[in-house]
Amino acid sequence: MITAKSATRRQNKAQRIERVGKLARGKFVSPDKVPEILRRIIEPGDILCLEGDNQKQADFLANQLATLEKKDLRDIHLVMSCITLPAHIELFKKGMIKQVDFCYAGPQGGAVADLVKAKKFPVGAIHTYNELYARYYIDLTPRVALIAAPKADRKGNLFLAANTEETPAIVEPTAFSDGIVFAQVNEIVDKLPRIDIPADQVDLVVEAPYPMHLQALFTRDPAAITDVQVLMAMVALRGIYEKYEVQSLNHGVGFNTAAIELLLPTYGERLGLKGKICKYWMVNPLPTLIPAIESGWVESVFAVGGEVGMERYTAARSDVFFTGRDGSFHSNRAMGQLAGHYAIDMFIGASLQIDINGNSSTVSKNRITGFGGAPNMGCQPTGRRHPTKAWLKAGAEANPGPGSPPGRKLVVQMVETFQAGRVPTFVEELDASDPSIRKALHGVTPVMIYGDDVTHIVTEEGIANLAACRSVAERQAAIRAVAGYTPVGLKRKKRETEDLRARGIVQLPEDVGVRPSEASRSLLATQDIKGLVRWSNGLYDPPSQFVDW
Amino acid sequence: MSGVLFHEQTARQRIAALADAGSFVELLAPPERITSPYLAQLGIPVSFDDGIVIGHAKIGGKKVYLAAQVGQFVGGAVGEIHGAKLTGLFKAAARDRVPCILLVESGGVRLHEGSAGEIAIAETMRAIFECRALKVPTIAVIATDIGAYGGIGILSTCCDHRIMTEHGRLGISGPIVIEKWMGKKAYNSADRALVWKTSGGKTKYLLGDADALVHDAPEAVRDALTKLIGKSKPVNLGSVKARQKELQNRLKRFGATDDPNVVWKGMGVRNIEAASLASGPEFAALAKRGK
Repeated sequence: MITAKSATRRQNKAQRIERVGKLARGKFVSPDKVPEILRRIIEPGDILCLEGDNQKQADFLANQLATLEKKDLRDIHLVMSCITLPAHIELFKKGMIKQVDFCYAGPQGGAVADLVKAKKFPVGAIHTYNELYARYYIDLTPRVALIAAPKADRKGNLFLAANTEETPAIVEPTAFSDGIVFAQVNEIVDKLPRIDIPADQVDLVVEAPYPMHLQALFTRDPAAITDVQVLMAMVALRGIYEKYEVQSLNHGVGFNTAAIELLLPTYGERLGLKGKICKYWMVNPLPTLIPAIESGWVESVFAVGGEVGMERYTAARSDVFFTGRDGSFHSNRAMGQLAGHYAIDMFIGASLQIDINGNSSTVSKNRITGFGGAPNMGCQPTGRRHPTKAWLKAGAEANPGPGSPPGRKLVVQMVETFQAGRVPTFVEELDASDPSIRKALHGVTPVMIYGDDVTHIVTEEGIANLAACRSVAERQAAIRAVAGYTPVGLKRKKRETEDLRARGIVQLPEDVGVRPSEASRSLLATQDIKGLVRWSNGLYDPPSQFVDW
Repeated sequence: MSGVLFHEQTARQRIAALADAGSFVELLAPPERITSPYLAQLGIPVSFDDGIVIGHAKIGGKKVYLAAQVGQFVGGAVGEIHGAKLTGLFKAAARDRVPCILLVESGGVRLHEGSAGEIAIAETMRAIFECRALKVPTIAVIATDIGAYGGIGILSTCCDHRIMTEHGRLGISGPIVIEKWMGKKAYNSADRALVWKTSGGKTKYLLGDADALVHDAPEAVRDALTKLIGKSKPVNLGSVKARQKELQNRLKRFGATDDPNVVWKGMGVRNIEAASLASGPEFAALAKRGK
């Protein structure tokens, strides 16, 4: 039965499409008509979704949108996971946006902070990825979604190649609520390698004059890994991976975890850990994971996105990576985040700032970045019911009460005590708790990972097992104990540290069997990008900025 | 695929890895605190070795004079003290008839003390040619990312032999300088592949500017040194004319191309991709040099 309201919504869509009229031939439009078409299909008050995460961008459509003026486009409620492009900022500067709900603003973090100061950034909330995708189905359903795909066929079916990422999470709620899905594609072909989005969920298609922007985000050059990071990696491997027998995991993007990946085939092998740890991964196709894969450590890898240069390698290793019938790599951001939430033993990542209670953030007054997906994985999923060894062991340590789950996900923060430029990582209070930021965010401090969710902090000083702490004071003492020579660390009391160490809550490298003098880059499976290419048997094609041969 | 990499070692680690155990005796060592008077005047931190370690050692039982530049200190650039140590070492080599090895890591003359540096380079070149006239072997090892540029690039080519790795670069003007004068279109210094394919060890080996191309490992450098340590190359009118002809030929063959792969192909590399990934002797095996 068709209710009056759904009829209205459907009629409204029909009217919008009708307004496009002869500007389109069927679903297909030419690039020069795009600004006018956008003007005709978007109405004031619309929830407008722009695709663009930290990797792929519907940049052509965003750039065309930014050529419009406030008279063409106003009162827009913008929803998007990442504010990444100058064009996105332009929409705010032109005063078109009445509200924005987003996740992350990495490269535009400075510009967003400026907009906030100028009161031109009417933010609803900063979300985590899955939180925002979930709201697309509840109260933030897009009326119009501008998306990106590498290829379309002549019916409007879309092929998403390695970078499926968040496209399905945008298209489904839009298409099934009579919204308009407008795709930019790199090329239109007769036959697609595979169909990732069916044509009947796509309303308009433009062949963009330039290929969509794709950021190489997960490539870490082994040459930039330091001896200190190797030390931390060794400590983490012994004190956490080995101790809990971590089988399924997510690695954040960073040199610390890249060091761990490159130690598996060398140091890890020497410790006899192959087959015992690191078998199942929810992680993008990290080039630094190649040596571990080639050495037989890895059973499977599911990813939220692709990585530039890993196309041939992932296709060749379809025994490890998820691939389509066409043989090429497949990713899915929403499903990957879901997997990272419920199905892994451990999340390990880095942060810019950690406060005395273990809360972390990357936000400051001059750089408002946001969250992305880390908090979806770096949290305790209390909806989890299935046990694993690591989950139960971490849970037992945390001394569960009568009303709490028996297990815990390991949530590990791995940081050096100082960031570049001798900026301390550990602080008494986060920059993110600045009143002006809290005011812009309706009273919420943008915390990346809450201290209550963190089980361990690893620094070059050692490991603090926060989950095993029995009080807030004890947790603070444990954090000070591994905070080194930062102001937070210098406040530690010797006797407290010794007591925590005696109880195994604080562990120095030697307590987990690591000799700091042994920590050297020479332990890495390879020390440069070229070595990764060699490990891949020439199948990895690193982006040109990493190539010096 | 792992181990200690020569290009990641410090100057003193390199010496320790190349010299027979315990044989290195440093001259004008840091405790003597002979530092640059100019940097001090400019309020710039000084280094107790002024960015170069010199001394004598044994390699495979054979006495050598040995210098290693310290890239971490002002890019290994040559100032007055640095230059005087270098000149003195090669003069001592000539006087004592002992082979002299320079582990290069320098962008050239230190701008803060340019005149002193330029003079030191000229004096060291003279000392090198004194060595060569006496058939005392001189060897430059160019195996770091900083490479050998400016005056040190010239000085390196004055030595009897050059040992390089794929990390090493050899030239006069650095990539950024070339880009500044010739424009980004002519030479993009951010294109790392282009930079290494024009001035890197592999290309220099193909063109005959490097005598040996070795793996980026201290043992490999040591092996190559052992082989060359007793060999000197004559330098006379005939050798200079022959070299000049060689360079003219090179200009004629490759002067018009802006694609380094054309040079590689011209010098006998068939499979560019495989050669790009290969290192040291494996690369040499893939190329029929100087065809």
